[in-house]
Amino acid sequence: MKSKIDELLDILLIEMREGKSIEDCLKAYPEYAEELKPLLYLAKQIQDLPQAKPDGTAVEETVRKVRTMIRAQQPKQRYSFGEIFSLKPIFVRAIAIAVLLIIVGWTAVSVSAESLPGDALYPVKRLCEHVQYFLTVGSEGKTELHLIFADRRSTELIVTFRQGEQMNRELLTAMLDEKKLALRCSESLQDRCCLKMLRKIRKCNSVQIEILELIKPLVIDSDTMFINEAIMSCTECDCCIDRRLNQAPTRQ
Amino acid sequence: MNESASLLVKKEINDSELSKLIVDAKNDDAVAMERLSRYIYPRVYHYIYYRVSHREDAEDLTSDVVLKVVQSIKQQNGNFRAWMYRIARNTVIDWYRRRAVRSEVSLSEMPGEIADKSVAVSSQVLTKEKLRQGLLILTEEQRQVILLKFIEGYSNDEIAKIMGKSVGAIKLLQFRALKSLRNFFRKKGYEIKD
Repeated sequence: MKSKIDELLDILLIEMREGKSIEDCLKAYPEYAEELKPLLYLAKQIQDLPQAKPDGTAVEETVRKVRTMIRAQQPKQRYSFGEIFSLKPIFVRAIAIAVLLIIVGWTAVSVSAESLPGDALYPVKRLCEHVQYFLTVGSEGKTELHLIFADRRSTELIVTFRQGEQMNRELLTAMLDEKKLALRCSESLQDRCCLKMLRKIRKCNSVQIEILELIKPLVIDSDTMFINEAIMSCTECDCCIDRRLNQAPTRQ
Repeated sequence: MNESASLLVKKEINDSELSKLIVDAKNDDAVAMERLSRYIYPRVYHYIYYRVSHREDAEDLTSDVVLKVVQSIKQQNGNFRAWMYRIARNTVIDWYRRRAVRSEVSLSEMPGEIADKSVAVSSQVLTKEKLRQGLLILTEEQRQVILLKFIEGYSNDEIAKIMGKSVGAIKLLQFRALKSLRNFFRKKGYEIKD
């Protein structure tokens, strides 16, 4: 009985859906009309209830949350090397320019290391020395650099002299100046480190004297006096170094 | 008004479109996920609306369900609607449980339990609020049938798939649910009339 009536209710609901009125539906089943009529009316009233419409703002807020969640869930896109070049032309240009600058810069620095005064790259060489000096921290390092630069000036002096048979006074002055600067820098050094640097400076000074003695007979007359003064300066420097070494007790 | 018109609920997306949308969403298609969210939202909202007391709660819970559906779409198998309503149902149940733990509400207020409220249903017009109160006296399955059939407009076959039951069982639940509702309204002084 129950099974039949629930089947019948469903049939009548379908007939209602097809457009029949409740009364027409029930005419064929008068024995069930009393029980089913209120159920059909109730079903109709439930269906006729206005839809509970969701608030548009709430829907949009949820969609926004979904978007955020999707973004968070998606794995970060990884580009292959080729994709970078195809997708980001500005990025590629920047990289290309940077690489080019590095290559050109590196080549210029390498080539300039062998340059001499008068060469196009000589200013690059000196600029690199300034940068290197600027980036060096501590008196010991700076003293060491002055000695390296002094050595370079010595080499440059010899090479230019051989090439032109004339002494470059600027180089000679620079060579002596670098050594003096090394000596000055060493003043702020502590005991053992100071002694080590003073010995290096003395060695550098000896080399400079040897070079000067070597080229002295070969220079033109006007440069001879200049060389003599340089040798005298080196001798004074040697005395100064000796004095400082002697002042440092027990460490000689 | 044509009665048949009221029985049909418009569906903006047909079944094949929905299937494609689900496949696309599973393939991380952001547009498909967003469209799916817009499709899900009103359906879940109608379903939840009659299960909680406040509109704001319904909105919050619907939002939670939509996010859960999108988040776990890749794990979805079988009937999508059944899966979606299962998530909605569990979300509402969890919400009531949490509220009960926080002592904000008695467990007896949970849907499926009879809430002995004195409902003012004397007016002769059925309203959403009256239906919401009436639904509280139904069992979970009866309530689900009423909501899916008369609010959402699904067919018996669709409801059977969603609920994992036979069509015969759905018809029986439908009959019992309407009868219980009718008795409840009559007790409260509301006579169902055309």
